[in-house]
Amino acid sequence: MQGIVFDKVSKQYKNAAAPAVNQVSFTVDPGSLVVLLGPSGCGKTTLLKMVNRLFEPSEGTIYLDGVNIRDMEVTALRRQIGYVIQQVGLFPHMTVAENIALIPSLLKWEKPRIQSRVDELLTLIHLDPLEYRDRYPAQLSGGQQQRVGLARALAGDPNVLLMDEPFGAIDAITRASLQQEVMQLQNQLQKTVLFVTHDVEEALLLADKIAILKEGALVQYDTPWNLLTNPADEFVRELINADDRIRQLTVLKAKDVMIKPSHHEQVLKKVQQRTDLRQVLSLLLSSPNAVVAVTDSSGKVVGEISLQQLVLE
Amino acid sequence: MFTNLINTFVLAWQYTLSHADEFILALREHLFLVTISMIVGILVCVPLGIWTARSKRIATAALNTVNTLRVIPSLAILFLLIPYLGLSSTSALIALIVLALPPILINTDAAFRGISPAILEAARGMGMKPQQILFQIEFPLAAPVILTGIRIAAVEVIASATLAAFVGSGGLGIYITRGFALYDYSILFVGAVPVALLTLFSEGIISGAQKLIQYPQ
Amino acid sequence: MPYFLRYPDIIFKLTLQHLYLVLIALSIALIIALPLAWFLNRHKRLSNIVMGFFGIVYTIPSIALMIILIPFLGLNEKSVIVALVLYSQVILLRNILTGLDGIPKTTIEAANGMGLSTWQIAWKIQLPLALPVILAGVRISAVVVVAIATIGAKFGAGGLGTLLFDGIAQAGRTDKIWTGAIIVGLVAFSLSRLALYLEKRFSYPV
Repeated sequence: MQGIVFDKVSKQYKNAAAPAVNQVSFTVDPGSLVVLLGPSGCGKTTLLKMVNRLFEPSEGTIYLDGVNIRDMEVTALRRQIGYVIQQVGLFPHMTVAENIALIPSLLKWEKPRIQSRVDELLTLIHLDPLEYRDRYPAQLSGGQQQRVGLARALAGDPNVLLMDEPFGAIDAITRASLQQEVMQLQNQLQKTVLFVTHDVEEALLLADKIAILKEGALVQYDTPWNLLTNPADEFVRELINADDRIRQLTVLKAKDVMIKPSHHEQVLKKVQQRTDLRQVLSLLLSSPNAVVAVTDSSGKVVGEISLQQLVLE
Repeated sequence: MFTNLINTFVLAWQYTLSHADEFILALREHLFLVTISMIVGILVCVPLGIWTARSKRIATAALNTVNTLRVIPSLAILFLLIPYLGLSSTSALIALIVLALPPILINTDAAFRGISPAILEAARGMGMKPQQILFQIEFPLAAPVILTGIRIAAVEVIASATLAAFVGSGGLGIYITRGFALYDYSILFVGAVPVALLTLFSEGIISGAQKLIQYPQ
Repeated sequence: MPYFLRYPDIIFKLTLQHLYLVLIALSIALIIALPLAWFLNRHKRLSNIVMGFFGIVYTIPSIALMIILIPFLGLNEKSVIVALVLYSQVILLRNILTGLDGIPKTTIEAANGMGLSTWQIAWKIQLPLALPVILAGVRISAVVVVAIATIGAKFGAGGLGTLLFDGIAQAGRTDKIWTGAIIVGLVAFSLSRLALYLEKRFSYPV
């Protein structure tokens, strides 16, 4: 699998002064989650929609797994790509099960396979199949609707997922839990995901890499850590608030900075290796000797972190 | 007053029985006029309504024409067309079709316009072909409003088919013209009551159909 | 010479007769609908039944309804006017109810709290606030009533329908039919415009 490749992609509307997307080139590695981040009108949604050809580029090419998407038949292309939008767009006259089953039936899967796929996906998004299969969208909360939207996008087991500000219309509390679910799903399923948002926190939380767009052009494409420590220009620095050290800590995990455990006779507070450094800092500030031990998922100590280290990082 | 009513009913019933064959013929003619004009109206206006919902140019032209028609009483439209088309069942039929067009067109147009763009975008993005979207998504969602338009048109057509008798066509209206000519209320009833029952019946059937396709909102 | 140029006085008379039917019917209809809707607003369960009844009445073709009224009222303009009143009920009731429902409950509570009586609330608060929607209902009813009143000609009530029926009965008098149709259209249009003007006049920013 070769992921998604953007090669000098541009989109110019007829009566517009400047291009909506201007010579954007970058590669999305397979299995990674790339966030398209930028202010309103920067072209991130336009760029996203060129991948499933809801818009066609004026210039440039987009490759999906090495194939020029313009060489594929449009509906066939779209059936291979999961698409989640902000307003969800669940079909109100179909049950949850029918909504999710739509793509598999378009792909002509056999009934039993579709059935079990629907149940599998409902379980994956933490909705009990027996209870939710036959419900209608109007009977679901906003958060539940969007989770069904996600399940519907994953139904055909696509390699690629396009998400256009999927949590923009959802309340903050539900949004946080949905973000966690997306991270979990991504750990499990390892899809190639393009995720559009204007929410910097969301971007830093979810992304393996972030493509920052401004007025149609790609300004910087890098990991969250690199963006925070080496912003390409003033615009990026201000956008992600790169100077905020505490923000930098949130994108690092304990395992990224821990050192070998020295023998400490004291009993140290423990953190999991996947915990982000902001939480580690919080713990350190309440630890008597300003050192904590880092453990793996089984509880075995694999390293330690001291406050000194964080100051020097 | 009420004895008057009951008397008229009884007389009307007797009249019907004594003119049974003529009555059945009139009823059949009436139903014929109604069914044909409704079918043609639906076959013309549903596709047209889909077209107007998608194309601004066509929409303004078609909807303006239809809205002007609505202000003119059906009686007037009927009477206007007949002299040019001649006194026959065919001309009555054409007039009825013209009367059926506005509600069906306006409602089909509104129904298709009213479908949330997010739903259509999701359907396109998922890789559904245009005909699949039309038949599996748009039509089911538009159906309730289209059925309302058909309901309104049906009532309009059944009523106007009655008036068609004034222009020499058949149908239950013959009893109304006759009743006015002979100044006999009971004959008027022979025409009026079945027509009223027909409209109630068609309302009932179409409302029932709407309830069947309802989904939780 | 076209009909309407030759006999303007006849046309004027017929138009007046038509307007007479329409305005009497609308006035009676409003006098009935306003208190009825106000009552139904306070007794929601009843409103379904009443609205259902008038809905059925509306379905029955106008000529059939008028004929059914004959044994009660005779073959004259009374049957026509009563039929017109019955037809407008469903539209007026629905609109008045919608207008009343659109008033925030808190406004009524405040009025109650201030010590206004039920009658004062109805007259000074509910009526003005619901007025735009009520006028919209009057507008729609006016168009419908103008159209149905054409049938009144057959019942001896006169009106512009006379031109239509005469035009058909007398061979080759399409000019009468055209005149009738156009004037009726104009009357409907003017009343509708007038109601629209009033609607806007009594609107308030929300």
